[in-house]
Amino acid sequence: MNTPELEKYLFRLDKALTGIPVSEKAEIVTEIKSHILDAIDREPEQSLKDILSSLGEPEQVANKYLLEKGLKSKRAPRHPIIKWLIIGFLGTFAIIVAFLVFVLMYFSPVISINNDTGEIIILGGAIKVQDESIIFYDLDDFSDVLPRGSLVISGSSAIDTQTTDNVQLRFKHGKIQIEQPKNQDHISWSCQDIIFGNEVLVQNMIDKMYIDFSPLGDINCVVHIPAVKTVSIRGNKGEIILFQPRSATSALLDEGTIFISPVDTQHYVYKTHVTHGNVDQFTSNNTDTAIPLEATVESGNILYK
Amino acid sequence: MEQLSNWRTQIKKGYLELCILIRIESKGRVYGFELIEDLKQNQLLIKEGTIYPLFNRMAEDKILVAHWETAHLKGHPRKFYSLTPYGQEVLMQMKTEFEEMYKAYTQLLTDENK
Repeated sequence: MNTPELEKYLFRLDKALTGIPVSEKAEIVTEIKSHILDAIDREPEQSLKDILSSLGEPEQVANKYLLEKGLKSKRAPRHPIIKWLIIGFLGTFAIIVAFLVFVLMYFSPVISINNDTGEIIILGGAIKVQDESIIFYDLDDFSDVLPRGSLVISGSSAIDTQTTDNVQLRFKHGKIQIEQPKNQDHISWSCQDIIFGNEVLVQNMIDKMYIDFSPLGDINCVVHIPAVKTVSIRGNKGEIILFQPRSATSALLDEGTIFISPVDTQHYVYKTHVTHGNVDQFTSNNTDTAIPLEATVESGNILYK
Repeated sequence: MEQLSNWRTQIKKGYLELCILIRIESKGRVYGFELIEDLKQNQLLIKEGTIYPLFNRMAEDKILVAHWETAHLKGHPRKFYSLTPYGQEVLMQMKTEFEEMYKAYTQLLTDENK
């Protein structure tokens, strides 16, 4: 005996039982329906309307179910969930801290100030503050990832070969080739693949000339030097190529390779030292006209080219 | 005395739960409509809208166990409830505590007269 009134009541009841699983909802509705049908049978003097009003509004009945469940669910342990959430957050936090410590240690010193150039160098060169701009470089580890520009930095500097005895070159990472063409009367350089256009530092100190390529970061330069008395090159990591040297040259590299291409017709006296790595055989000829060449590599090679 | 209605609700709630369990134990198994009639005969009035959610919660708490029966009794399916062994323990405990409460109550009354 399913009247529309009964169906409507049961439909409202079902709808009001929010948050309860479908199978349980079905049982609840079936049980209430069963009660109503029993009531109709046992008390024929009562109308359906009376029975339904005695039950109460479907929403009220549903509410009572939810209330009873509410009491139960409050007792349900929330603690494990919160405990695991906290563990999750702490774990993530710990990983982040460990990562930061690693980054800081890798890029140490954290902050250093270069008074000469007025630069603040953060994270061992990863970030540099110059005047008011922030420059990111020292990214040789990422150089295969970063796109190479086609910028070329070139420059020159006049040099008085009468008064200037010594030319000093300095760089950090990269490749530098020193050439001493005949009739070269000034110093010039040309560097390729510069990521950021920084300035080469040139200091002319009358009796010596100091050129620092460090600001360029990772370099790939060719430098032409006149035949001054002495040339010294100092680098951290990369390659130094002494191409047909005509001056007494001293090259020092922490990590990498020093290549020497001697002039065929010239005698040299070689002084080579490698702490970890290989040295080719260089034959010294200790004559009056011999040019001293000194090459030192901490970790790497000194090779013939 | 409308102010009593809140008190009545509260006290009836606990008391009725105890009475329901006592009747279920005594009858072995009941279904909703049948129990409502039974309680009425014992002067314990409970609204239908109250008893079914209560059954539902007690079944969830494993105090009662429910099973559906169809076939007999006029055709439509009925949900029958009976006490679980755990439910029997709970009932025993409730009875003990209620008796103690009642003892304390009588004691309170005699003190009142002092």
